[in-house]
Amino acid sequence: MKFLKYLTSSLVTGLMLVSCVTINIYFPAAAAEKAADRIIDDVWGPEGLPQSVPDSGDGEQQSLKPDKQSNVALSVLNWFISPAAAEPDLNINSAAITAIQKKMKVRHNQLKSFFANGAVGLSSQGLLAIHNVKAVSLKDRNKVKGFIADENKDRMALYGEIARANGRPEWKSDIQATFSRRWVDKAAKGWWYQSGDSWQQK
Amino acid sequence: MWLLSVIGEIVIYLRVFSPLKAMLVRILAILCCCVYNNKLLASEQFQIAIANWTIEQTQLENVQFDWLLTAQGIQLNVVAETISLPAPLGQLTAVELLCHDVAIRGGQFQCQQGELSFKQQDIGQQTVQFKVDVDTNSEAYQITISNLSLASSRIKLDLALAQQHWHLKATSSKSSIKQLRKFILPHLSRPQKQVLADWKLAGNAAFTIDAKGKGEDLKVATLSLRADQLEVSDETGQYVTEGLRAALSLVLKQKKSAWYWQADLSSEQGQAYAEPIFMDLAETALVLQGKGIWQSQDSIFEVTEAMFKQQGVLQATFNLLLSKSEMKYLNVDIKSTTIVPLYEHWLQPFTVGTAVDNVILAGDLNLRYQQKAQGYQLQLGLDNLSIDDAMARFEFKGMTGNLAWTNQDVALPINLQWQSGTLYAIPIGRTELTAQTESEGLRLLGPWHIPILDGELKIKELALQSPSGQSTEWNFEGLLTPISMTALSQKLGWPTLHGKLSGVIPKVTYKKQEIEVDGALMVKLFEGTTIIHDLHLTEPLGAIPQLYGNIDLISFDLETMTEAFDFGEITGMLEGKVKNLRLANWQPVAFDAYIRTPRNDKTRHRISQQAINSLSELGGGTSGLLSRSALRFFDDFSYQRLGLSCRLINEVCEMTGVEEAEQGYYIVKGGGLPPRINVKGFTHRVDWPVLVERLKAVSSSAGLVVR
Repeated sequence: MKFLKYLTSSLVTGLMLVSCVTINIYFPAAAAEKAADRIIDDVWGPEGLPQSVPDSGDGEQQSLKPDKQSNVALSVLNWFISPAAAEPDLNINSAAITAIQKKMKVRHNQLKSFFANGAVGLSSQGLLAIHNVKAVSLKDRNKVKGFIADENKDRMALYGEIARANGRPEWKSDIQATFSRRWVDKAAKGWWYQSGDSWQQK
Repeated sequence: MWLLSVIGEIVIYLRVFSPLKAMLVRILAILCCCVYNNKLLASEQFQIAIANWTIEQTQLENVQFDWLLTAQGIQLNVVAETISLPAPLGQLTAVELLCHDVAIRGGQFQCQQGELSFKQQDIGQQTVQFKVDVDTNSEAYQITISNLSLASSRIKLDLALAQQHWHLKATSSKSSIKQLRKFILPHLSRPQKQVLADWKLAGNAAFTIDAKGKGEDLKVATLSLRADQLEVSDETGQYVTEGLRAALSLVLKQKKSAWYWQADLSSEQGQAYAEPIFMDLAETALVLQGKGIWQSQDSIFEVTEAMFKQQGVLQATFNLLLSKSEMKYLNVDIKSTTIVPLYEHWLQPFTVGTAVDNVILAGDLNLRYQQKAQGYQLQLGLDNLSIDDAMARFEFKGMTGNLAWTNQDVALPINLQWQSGTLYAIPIGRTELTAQTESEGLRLLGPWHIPILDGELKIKELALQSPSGQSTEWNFEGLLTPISMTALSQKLGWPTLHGKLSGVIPKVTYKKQEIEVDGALMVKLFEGTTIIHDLHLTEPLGAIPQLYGNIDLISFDLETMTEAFDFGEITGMLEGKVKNLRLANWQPVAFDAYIRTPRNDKTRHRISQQAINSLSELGGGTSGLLSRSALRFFDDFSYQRLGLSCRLINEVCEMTGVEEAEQGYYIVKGGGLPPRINVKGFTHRVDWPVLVERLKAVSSSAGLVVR
């Protein structure tokens, strides 16, 4: 009797546990990393991984294909617009993403020296943060703060846009987390990054 | 507060003087006694040694007085092992006093040239020169001490006492602030020490003090402080100065329980940063002058009149009253000033991260701010002001008028006009806004007509609220009178569109950085109607503005349409829908759209040879195929229906036609009387940018006729 009671309660608990399991929608982590790397390499320059080029697909169809079914009517025309590239798991080709990437690339040239001297570091949220304000001359402090604010605005827009462009706005935080890791992994030696609440130097 | 500390210190040291005075009087008494007894005159040297002598709170141990008659007069030499004085001076050791020319006449004692050396725990070994002039009859004392060495600075003191009245003058040579800090640190309380520990201080300072008082009360004081190479920095780097040179002059007068003060601060060298304001004083010298009242008992600090001037940037006058650290009133006036340096130094630092953090400005501005307790009124006067966003999102020129904002329930008028403007490349014409502000809100006093291209947006019932600490919200009723879509699409860099855009907008709402348009906009075109609805725009001035909407295309006449584009004639009707449209940065990035022949369309369906060629070009094929086939003898062909759908995602248009075909889909499905024609598409996944380029080429092709 006691055993039966034990078995019943275990089963009920087990059932409850099983019923609580949430099935997560698959997030293409590897593809996201690949996408992040491509953008980071472009924004930060050649120090990262080499740029990967998406497959060019099966090329343009130039041949005319007659419509066998049509007897009286003639099929004479086809549309020849280039077929789209084979779909990668996470697409980062959109005018908005390219525009934002370009802005970040230009800004990085101005930010580079502040990464190097430790004034600016990489936050654990995939953004930028002031690490050591004293490393910036008084005159440049507001300029650096402006760069950081603009960069963070662009980064948040970038993460959101990648998620939206792939039809999954809910992936924004996963994309942000992926980028956060990749920015740190690809950071140059001597740059600062946040690990939890503390700052570390690469 | 630090000023009070200085005053306090003066009073403390004056208290010390009281027992000193008593000691001096007693020594004089002995001296006089000796002189009148002719003992001193009878011999050339006279000596008194006392093992332990206590006068009030002063104690002398092993003290010896030596009187020596010289050719110049009487020389006095006093040596004491220790002299214990009340705090803060405490114990002096190895005390040696030498006066070369003691003059004694009646109750008068003078020493014109004296030297005193002693050792004290805080100030170390000291050798000072002094002059003393005492008249015991009138209780007048005149003492000058020079060469007092404190914290690497030499200090000269002049003290005059007449009965209860005293006058102190102190002058210091340049002193190292680091040394000064080390010197004062032991005298500070623990909280004061903690505050000081958070700051790095370096540089040099020199001061002069001129203070007058009665008894223990300070009546008038003048303090002049000069600092150079001043390096101040707090722990977080929020407040920093580098190489700063500053001069402060402060005059204090006591009347009843209040202190009347007058201050003058100036700086013309070095840099200063108080987050987020940065000043390069060499470029923009600073002057701050003011006067007011300080009532320490009630903790009331009042600035009755003050002027702040930053050269080449702004000049402001202000007054304020703080009671127990609470602002009772504050009034600030900035006279008409060029906005460029004002923005650079004072406005831009506060706008970092907003839409106006990188703008190019021109024109003049004046400002008046009035605050009473928690209520405030801000009024801005704009004189031919222009603002141009560096990211080219907006530009307004020739802005003139008065802007106002208040949290009080008193209405303030707003009147603003601009000569021209652009918003995301859309030109906005000259307009005038008449409104009023009240309780952190704004409302229009009449309809606001904003010319846009060849039409206008009429705004009615605009209500804006921006409560402090919360985000701004606004809404209005609007009416859009016809705007040329051709001009609008060209300005936005879209493929050329046609028709006129208009609409009655029941409500436009802005909330949480999102603009939502209720109702619908309409474009009347090609005898059909385009209805744009469910429009909303997120982060309008953000990094990537996102515009969402749905579009219905109803009853388009293809004949009129194809004629307009010189596309080649097609007859029949057309309908369509663009669902879930999303524009990122004003470029379409996602939608689900189709155009097709309506199901029950009874009109004649013909497509010309030219239209087929155009369609072929749009599809990237070679034109003129028909002319090389047997079909070249026909001008047009009949079709059953035509249509195309595109689901855009990831720069890829997933395309289908009106019907699936083997290996593809029909874009034009032949039908009706021969000759018929089919146009087929084979590629389901189409590169969107290429398609857009072709649409642009077709829509802007030469010979375009709009009717």
